[in-house]
Amino acid sequence: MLVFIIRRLLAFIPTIIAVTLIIFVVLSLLPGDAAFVRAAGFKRGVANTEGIEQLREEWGLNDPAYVRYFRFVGGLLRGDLGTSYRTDEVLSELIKERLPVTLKLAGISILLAVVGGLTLGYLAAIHRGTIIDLVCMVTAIVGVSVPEFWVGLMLMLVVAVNWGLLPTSGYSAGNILFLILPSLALGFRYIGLIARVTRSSMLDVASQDYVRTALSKGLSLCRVRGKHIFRNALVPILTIVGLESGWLFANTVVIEEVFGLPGIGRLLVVSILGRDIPAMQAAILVMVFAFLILNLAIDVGYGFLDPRIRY
Amino acid sequence: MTRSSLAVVLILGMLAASFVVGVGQDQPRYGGTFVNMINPSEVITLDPLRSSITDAETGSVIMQVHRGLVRWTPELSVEPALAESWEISEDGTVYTFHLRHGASFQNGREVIAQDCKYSFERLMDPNRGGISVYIFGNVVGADEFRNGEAESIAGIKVVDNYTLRITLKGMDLTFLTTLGEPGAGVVPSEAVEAVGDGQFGRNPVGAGPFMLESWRGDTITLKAFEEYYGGRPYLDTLVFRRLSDYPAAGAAFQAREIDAFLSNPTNYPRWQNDPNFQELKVAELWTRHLGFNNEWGPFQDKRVRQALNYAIDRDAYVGVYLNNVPISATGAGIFPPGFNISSGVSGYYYSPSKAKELLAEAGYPDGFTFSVVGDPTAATWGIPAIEPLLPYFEAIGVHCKLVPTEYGTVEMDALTGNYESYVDSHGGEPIALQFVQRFHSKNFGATNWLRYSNPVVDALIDEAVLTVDDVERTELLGEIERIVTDDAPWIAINFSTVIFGTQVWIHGMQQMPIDLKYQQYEKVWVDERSPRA
Amino acid sequence: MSHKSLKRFWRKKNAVIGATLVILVCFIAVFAPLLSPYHYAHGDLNDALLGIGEDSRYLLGTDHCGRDMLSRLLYGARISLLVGIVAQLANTVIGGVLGIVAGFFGRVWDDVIMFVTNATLSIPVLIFALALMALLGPGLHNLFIALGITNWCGTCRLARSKTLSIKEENYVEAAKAIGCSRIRILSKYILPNAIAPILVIGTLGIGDAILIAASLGFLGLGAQPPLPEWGTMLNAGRNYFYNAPWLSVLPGIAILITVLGFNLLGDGLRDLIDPNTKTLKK
Repeated sequence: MLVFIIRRLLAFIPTIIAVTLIIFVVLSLLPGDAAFVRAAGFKRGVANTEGIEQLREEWGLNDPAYVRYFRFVGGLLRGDLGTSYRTDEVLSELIKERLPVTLKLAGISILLAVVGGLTLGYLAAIHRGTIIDLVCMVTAIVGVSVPEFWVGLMLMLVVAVNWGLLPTSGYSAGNILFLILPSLALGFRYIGLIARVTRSSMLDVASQDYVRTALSKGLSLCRVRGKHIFRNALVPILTIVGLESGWLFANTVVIEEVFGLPGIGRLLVVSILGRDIPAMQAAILVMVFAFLILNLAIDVGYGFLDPRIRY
Repeated sequence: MTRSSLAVVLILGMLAASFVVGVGQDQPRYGGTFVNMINPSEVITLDPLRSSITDAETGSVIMQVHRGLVRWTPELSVEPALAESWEISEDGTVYTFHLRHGASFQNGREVIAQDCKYSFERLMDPNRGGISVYIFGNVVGADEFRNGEAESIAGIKVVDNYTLRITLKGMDLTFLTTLGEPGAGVVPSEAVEAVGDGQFGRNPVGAGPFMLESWRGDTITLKAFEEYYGGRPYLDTLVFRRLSDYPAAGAAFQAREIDAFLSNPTNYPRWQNDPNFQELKVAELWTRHLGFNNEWGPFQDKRVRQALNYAIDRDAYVGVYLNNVPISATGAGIFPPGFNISSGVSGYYYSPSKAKELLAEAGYPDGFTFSVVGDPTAATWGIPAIEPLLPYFEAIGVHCKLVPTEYGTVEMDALTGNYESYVDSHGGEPIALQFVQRFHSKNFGATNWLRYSNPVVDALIDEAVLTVDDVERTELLGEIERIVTDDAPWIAINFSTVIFGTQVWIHGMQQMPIDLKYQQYEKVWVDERSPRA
Repeated sequence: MSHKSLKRFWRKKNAVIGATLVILVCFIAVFAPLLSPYHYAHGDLNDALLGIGEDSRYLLGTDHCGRDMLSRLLYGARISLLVGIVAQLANTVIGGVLGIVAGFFGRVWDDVIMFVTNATLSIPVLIFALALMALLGPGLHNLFIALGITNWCGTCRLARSKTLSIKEENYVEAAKAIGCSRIRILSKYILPNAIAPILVIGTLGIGDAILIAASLGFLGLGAQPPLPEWGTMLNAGRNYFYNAPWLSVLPGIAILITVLGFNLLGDGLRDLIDPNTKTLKK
């Protein structure tokens, strides 16, 4: 088991390197970055061409690409993400401030989705062919077809504005109530997916021989369901969470915008509008890393759940 | 106690309590937190060095933390701030300021004349990127300092610890007013040197009534500066929260999470009759406009600019889109009505046929395409403000491309001439004389975003600045208005009337025509009904 | 596709519903100018913010600039469809080519291409597209680029695995044995058999492409006003949330219907090609 974990960690590393390379290439080498440097220069009272050139020299932007890349990676390893072009804030501090919000949002969304999906799928499998089953399938297919930000707006409209039950936006004092609607909006897509997977996986297993054997031996339906069927459904669920978590993290950007949450996603949008490359870079890196770590955790989780998968 | 005496005590007690509460609502009390909403365009820095008069959001927060020699009053004049009194010489070129004794910075040290000289030279220092350099542009020795020929500005002299003498090159009636701008704030050198110019904006130290307690993410928290020279402010804490859009602000206001916000005219009908919405309405001194780059393409031709001015129906725009809150600029000149310059100018009115005629004359019978940069979130002075006007332009064959840009970049583009047109609201000066400087060609890269240059207008402005007689000066300004309106360097759309909504427990807000945001928050207090009393 | 599988297709309710919706949206997109009462940019300020059914001239109400919502929604179908299909076409070609090359030529090609694919997969499509739009600048034309080069990974993987399995088939081994040139094997055996699943995955991706385009529009980085892209319209509607909520509700429904159609269609097609898969998309 340990060997398996180490193997996965080792495979992790080249991916990280490749990702930093891609991000670096996209953000630092494309011609568009000239506009960003100009904007940054202006913030410092430098508007003429010589001044901008000087600034580029100072920031090492004229160095050859590989030098800049290694400097970038070196900074990352030290935990230094640079300073914002726009506000001169130290980015690692800014990220530290905002990351918990995004992580909480993502975490609660996944939790809601798993709990909701498992319940719905379980019920759908048991009451197969009834209206609950239909609800499950419809939720699944609608869930992946509906834009998250629209779900967020609709929830805001109905729950917060018309019914006045929950706050509409913002995030004062870390109160978790502010995260309920956003998490629902973000997690909606996955509730249906997980439900569908739970349902089909349970139905699959239910027809297996060993289950019938267990039943004939006199084990109660409940225990059989719980022990064998349920456990087996966990693997595909893990697969879904892993596959779709990229989309989930990405959409924190939109949801944070809708609900005004001060997280990493919002930072990304603001830094794009404010032409702040270092901040963009930092936000993207953090999101991608979070996604990769989640996937790593899921891979390891597979190993736990299904010994056949360990390699 | 017997039951009846208990009842008497209770009744008396209640009466006393209500009396206290009643009194509490009429008399200022100390304590409490005021949560304010900032416009979605972010405040970047609290350093007077990087303050620009057009960015009122940043300016309004800077004004709480910093103080200059004088400050602006609701009556559009100046009152003493760090300078207790001053004299102006006969010929109007020498200003002698007598500083207050015992005014201190937020780091404890007393404010002395040397600090003023340091701060002003810091603003003018060519290596430090100060934005509002026009404030001291007229001072003797300023040019030499900006060219690097001199080590300091000769015209700013420290006579002694409490006396500062500033000598101007020539009489300038706007000088005293500009000293009230956020950019003229006085800062202590040791605080700047300690963190460097780059970080001072986030770690400011000033002489104003509030000091920065924390700045995390979207919230700036200021706390009362006990030793402020004007006495401790009533409020304990002043918070500026950035909310993502006006509906979010409205919702937060309704939920009593914030104490004040600027009501968006497009949403005004919803709040008009709401008893919880204390309305503060003032015709401000800002002109919302679409500004042409007068040096670009078709806009170099006056007829084209005039054509676009005739193309839009300002009355419908203000009446429908803005719910009749601001004042339409149909037939108006350049000055907001609050300045009271009645120049008899007849401006532009809605006439698409005239517009087409002028365009054809200028050689664009099939129209042309141009782009507009502006803030994507501001409903009244950003990109959303132009969207309703697009069909009007299309109707005369002119195709307009919207380019949403973060406000700081809009500013940069405008100041460096890197744009075709922009949309914004300009103003923020208490006197017409200063407002009109936007049309002076020497202010390219400062307040003249339009790249507009007319030597006749330049000469008139220079003359007006030296004209002491009020009547004569107003006449000159009227003349300027007539010429500039005819030149049509921009499309004046409407003059802002702003509505600030405050909760019923907020007292002390004032009608500030310069900009409602420029409140003197040290005079604001909160009564017990506030959840944040 | 055989007669039998077509019959199977029609039996599946989902696929039929999907196909109907897609055809409907395509029809609307093509005939938008004829179906819409007004041009999408035409607005009369005096008619701003009318509610649904409030004025018989504007069946679904008007927006803050006095433009007819119905017309804008109908024209919006053009934009979403165009973006979705063109972007996915690009992605499918890129992914398909890379995948087949990786699977067919193997070794170095495979290693390099798979490495790049896995790395790119680590960056969520929306984020990647956001970064590209940031550098290219907002606007519809840049949207095509940003969406067309960021979503090819799934197609690449599928193309590769299909190519690999076809390579192992008997008839391919036989062809190699008799000395058939590589080009011939590619064009005669690999391509025809791999194309169907590749196209299916491409179709499934159209829904996602439309969602991402709408998200970008919502953030203000996609298509710009006055273009009636549904996401952009939703963004504009936010300012009028309290007094005119239909500005925010209607475009969302349009997106939902369109994406639903493509997803159902894609699911149905996939069942057709490979009836044994019962897991979900991607």
